[in-house]
Amino acid sequence: MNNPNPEEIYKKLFKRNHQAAESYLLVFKKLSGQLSKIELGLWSSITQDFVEKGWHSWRCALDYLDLSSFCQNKLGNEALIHTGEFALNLLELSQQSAQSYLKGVHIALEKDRLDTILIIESCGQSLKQSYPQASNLLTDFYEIAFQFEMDALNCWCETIGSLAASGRQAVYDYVQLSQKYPEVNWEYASKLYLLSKLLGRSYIEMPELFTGKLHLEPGSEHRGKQFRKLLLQTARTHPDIDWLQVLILKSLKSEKIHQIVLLSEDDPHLLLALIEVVDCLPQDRTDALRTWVEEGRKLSLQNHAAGIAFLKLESNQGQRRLDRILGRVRLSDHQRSLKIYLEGMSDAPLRLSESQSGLVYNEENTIYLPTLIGLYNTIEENFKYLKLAITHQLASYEFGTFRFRYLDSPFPFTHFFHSFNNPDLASTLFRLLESARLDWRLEHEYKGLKQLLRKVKPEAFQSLEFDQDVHELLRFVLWLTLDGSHKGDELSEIQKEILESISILRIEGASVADTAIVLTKCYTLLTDDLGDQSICTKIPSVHYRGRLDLSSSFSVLQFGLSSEEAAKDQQDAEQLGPPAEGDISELVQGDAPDAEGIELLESMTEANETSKKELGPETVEMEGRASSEQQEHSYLYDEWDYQINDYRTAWCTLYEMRAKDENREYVSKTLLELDHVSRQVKKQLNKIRPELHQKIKGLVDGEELDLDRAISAVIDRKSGFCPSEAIYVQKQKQLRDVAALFLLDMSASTDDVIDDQDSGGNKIIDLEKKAVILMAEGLEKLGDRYAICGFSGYGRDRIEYTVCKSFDDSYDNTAKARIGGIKPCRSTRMGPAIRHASRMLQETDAKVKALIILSDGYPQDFDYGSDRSSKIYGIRDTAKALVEASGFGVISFCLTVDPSGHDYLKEMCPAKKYMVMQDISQLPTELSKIYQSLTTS
Amino acid sequence: MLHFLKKDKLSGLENSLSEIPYYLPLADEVEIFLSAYKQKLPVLLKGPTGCGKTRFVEYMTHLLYRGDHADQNRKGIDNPLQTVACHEDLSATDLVGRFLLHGDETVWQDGPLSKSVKDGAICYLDEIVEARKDSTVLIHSLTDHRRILPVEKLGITLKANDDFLLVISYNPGYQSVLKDLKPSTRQRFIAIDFDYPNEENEAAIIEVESRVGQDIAIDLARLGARVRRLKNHGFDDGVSTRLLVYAGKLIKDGLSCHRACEIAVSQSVSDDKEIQTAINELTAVFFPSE
Repeated sequence: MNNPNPEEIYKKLFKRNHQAAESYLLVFKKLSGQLSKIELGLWSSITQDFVEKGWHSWRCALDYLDLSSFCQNKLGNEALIHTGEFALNLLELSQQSAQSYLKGVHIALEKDRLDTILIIESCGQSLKQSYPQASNLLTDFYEIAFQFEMDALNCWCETIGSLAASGRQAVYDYVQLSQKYPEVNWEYASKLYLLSKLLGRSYIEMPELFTGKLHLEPGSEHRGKQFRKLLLQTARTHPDIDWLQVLILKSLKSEKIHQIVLLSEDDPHLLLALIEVVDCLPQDRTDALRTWVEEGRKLSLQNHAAGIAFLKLESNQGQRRLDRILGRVRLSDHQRSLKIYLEGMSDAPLRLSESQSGLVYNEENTIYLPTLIGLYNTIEENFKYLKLAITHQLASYEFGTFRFRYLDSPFPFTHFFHSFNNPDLASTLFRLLESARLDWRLEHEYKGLKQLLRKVKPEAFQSLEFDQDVHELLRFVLWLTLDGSHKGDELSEIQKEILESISILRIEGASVADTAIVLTKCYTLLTDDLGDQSICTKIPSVHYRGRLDLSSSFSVLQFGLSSEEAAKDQQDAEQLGPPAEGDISELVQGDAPDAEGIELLESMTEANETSKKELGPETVEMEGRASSEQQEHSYLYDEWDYQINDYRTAWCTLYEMRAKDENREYVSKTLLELDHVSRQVKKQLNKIRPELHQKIKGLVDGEELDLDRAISAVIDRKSGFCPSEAIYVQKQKQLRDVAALFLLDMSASTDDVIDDQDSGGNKIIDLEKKAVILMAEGLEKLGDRYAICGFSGYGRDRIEYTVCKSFDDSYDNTAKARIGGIKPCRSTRMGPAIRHASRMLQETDAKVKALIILSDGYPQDFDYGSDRSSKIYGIRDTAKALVEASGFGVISFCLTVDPSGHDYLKEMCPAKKYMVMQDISQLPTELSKIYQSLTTS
Repeated sequence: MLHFLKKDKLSGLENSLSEIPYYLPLADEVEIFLSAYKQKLPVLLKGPTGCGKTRFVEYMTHLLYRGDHADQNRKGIDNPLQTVACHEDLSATDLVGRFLLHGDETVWQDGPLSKSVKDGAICYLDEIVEARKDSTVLIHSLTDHRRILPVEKLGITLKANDDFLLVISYNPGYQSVLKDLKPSTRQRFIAIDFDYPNEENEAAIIEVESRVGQDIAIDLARLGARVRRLKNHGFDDGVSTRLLVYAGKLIKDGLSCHRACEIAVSQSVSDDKEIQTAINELTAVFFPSE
């Protein structure tokens, strides 16, 4: 290149842009001493090219000139020329991309991020090669890329590089998001992208995930959980990717929890287990958690599987220890004593159940309570909280909330609230004031509760989280209802008036009508100050008070109320006229609240109907069996895991249902076909009858003398003692008190045809059915109570327990048809079925409880233990279930038609409590013998 | 084999002959009993355990034999109340009497029923359904117009003294079908139904009997009413007034209310831990922890 002639170039530049020409001369002078002639020529040529490339390209020249001296100084001559050439190359595509590059270089130089320039250029170049026409993309790329520091840039560019293969739009979206969220953790984002590729899904469109600020973004918690779930899934299937665990930890919400989780970082399995349950762990109890994690770690050293189950809260021990350490209370553990307490406190037939929402409320004669209570640090305090929550719910009935009357309306609350201009505010105030009245009534009536309430109220207020929009006065009302202390001179005039109004409710014997009067006063005071409509009514719920359900149909229950109280309520209700603010007639005449009122009335009706639906088939029954024939009720059962030497808590879901398939001819055909066997069975069972009589010795009257006692009496008499008269023996009738349950294996394998010449082509299930049919016929004559059930299912979440005949059912045509309709279904998860059968037997309160299991093979299911090919898990769980049954006084017997049954039955059942049928056709007669031996011990 | 005498009650009555036993009439039972006595009608007292049946009989005995309604004849009877706690081994012999060996001789010993019949006392057969059938049949002839007691072993028939009255009691709450009174027996008695007093009366009883303050007595009575709602949990009668009085006495003696109720109420009525917990929680509702 020749020596540059700056004046010539100046002229050329001047024709295009004066500013560029002036700047050129200025920078030329600065660089003259720094660059060689050749370099200076190149630099001048580049500058000239910038100007001549397009209509507005002189702007690039200006940027380059601005940069040149600084660039030469920082990076050197060669880099200056390179930068120019690179920008010129970009200018081919668009002026904006060249400009954003040059400006970016300037930023990098200013921030001393010199190393980043080459990386950005390289990444940009790749991008340009992939999408030669994507000028906007490149412009945005250079705009954002120069903002990063080295580490972040590497990750960012790495993702860009990967995304380039996915399509222009993907890169474009990524770059756009990068611009939108400048504080992105790029390392996280890059991993996230790789993860999304592994999962075959894209998370780029989820900004919260993308930015890695899961815990900072409001409302992102759910997505965070979802994301973590996916991470965990991936971590399991890709254990080689160690950064996944790091990524998972990054997604944890709390730094403290993060620290706890890290306690097990040396063992990835424990780490993953902990991460999985992190949402169930209390964020503010890190010290207690630390103890629990340590216990899990220690356990894992002895038994790794047990340690994992412990930390995943799958094992009974893990859950119990955590509850104990945290002082938490499970409703299920105390349900019976609380139910008895409830019965003691109220006359009404009320139930307790678990609240899915975690809120305390009542509905349909049921008080709903949280499943797990950990508000306090000790079991005693949490139990007292439960008790208080129940008592508060009861108080609304005991102290007459639902005796509120308003203008003879069938919906007094609704009409009353709608007589105010702001029904929402009226309703909110009513709930607040009424809850306070109930508490104060409790304090007056029950001295023991007074102490508890005084302790709990201030704590409850402190735990409240108010919406920002909730007005100070409304907070003040809530504060007062929770016995908030106050100094008279610090209160405003309105506050003083509110305080005075509410004090009426503190008086012993205050009624719901008093609440309505106070509400009217408070409403007026609040709206006079704030206006009618502007008040936010989103008051948080006080935990132990829960939700006061004013539409509850429960309200019709009559609680013991003295006639004086009833009369006072009536009198108060009469005194309570329409409030000053409105009148019910407005509602009727079609003014503003009209439509709303009707809507509310309708919604109330709907709400009642909906609540009924919600209590439908899917409800997990806490106690008692289903009364309805059609319903399917679910029960949770623990399962024994021999590997962890502990129960897996609430591991299996068993659905009890009535047999749906019916075969009305099956029983009659069987009886016709097996007439001779039927007679044999009946004969066998008839042998039990003579044993119904028992000789009772030591009676003063009887059929014969008890020789021993008679001799003793003579000796006594001779010796001068008063002889006993009880020297007779009598045959007395002893009532049989037996309940027997026949449990049939309905697994798919029972569909096999019996490989026996005499079987007549019968399937195993047929033989089982025929055996119980013959037994049923015999037992009807004997008079013992019995039930016939079957079990099958698929997986631990779906164990099906089919009731053909319950203990209370008669052996009628329906029961017969159900037995006839038994069909092979799926797997053989025996443990939960035995536990449920044992439960049914316990409910009978019979003296002798017998469980007879008919099966065709060892217990198995696809997830009966971690190793599907191993039989041990199922066998051990079944063995444990049989031991449990024995503990409840249930005598069990396993009968199998599997020729290899000896192998596992000797491990599963106690000695002499099982039989392997060699000759299957003998099943009916053998069964009757077994029955006899079980029930006549 | 004389298991039947409630010695403590007898001696208690003997010692307090000069004093009237405390009894708070809840309805017209006193008038009915007086009328029945006058008309020589046997009386059946029905009611749950610890509701005051025995105390009522003692009270009435005092009224009729030592109090305002006593005449000179009755005042002269040393032991005006023969109480028999019936049990499954109680035979007719135990009630009527028997021969005992005395040296080489046999000596006749009157049973409580014979003694009452002769003396003109009140014979109170407590929990009559527990007794054997032969002993319940024995009283049939005493409870109709004949008012006689055949003494088979002596070969005589005793004519009941004019002042004699037979009173029986039973608890309908926990009798099984097998042990129910036969109609031929129960239809020989007029029946007075007893139940636990209402809270107000029960509090008054507890206050007098245990000498605790009125507040505590009221709360004990309220606790009693709550515990009685738990009938379906294996203790059909709930907690008796007697147990509440015991709790009051323990409190009076310095025991904390919680502990006293735990000992006298929750532990007494059930062995079931969960029921005990529930009753203790009910106690805690009425009595603040100290």
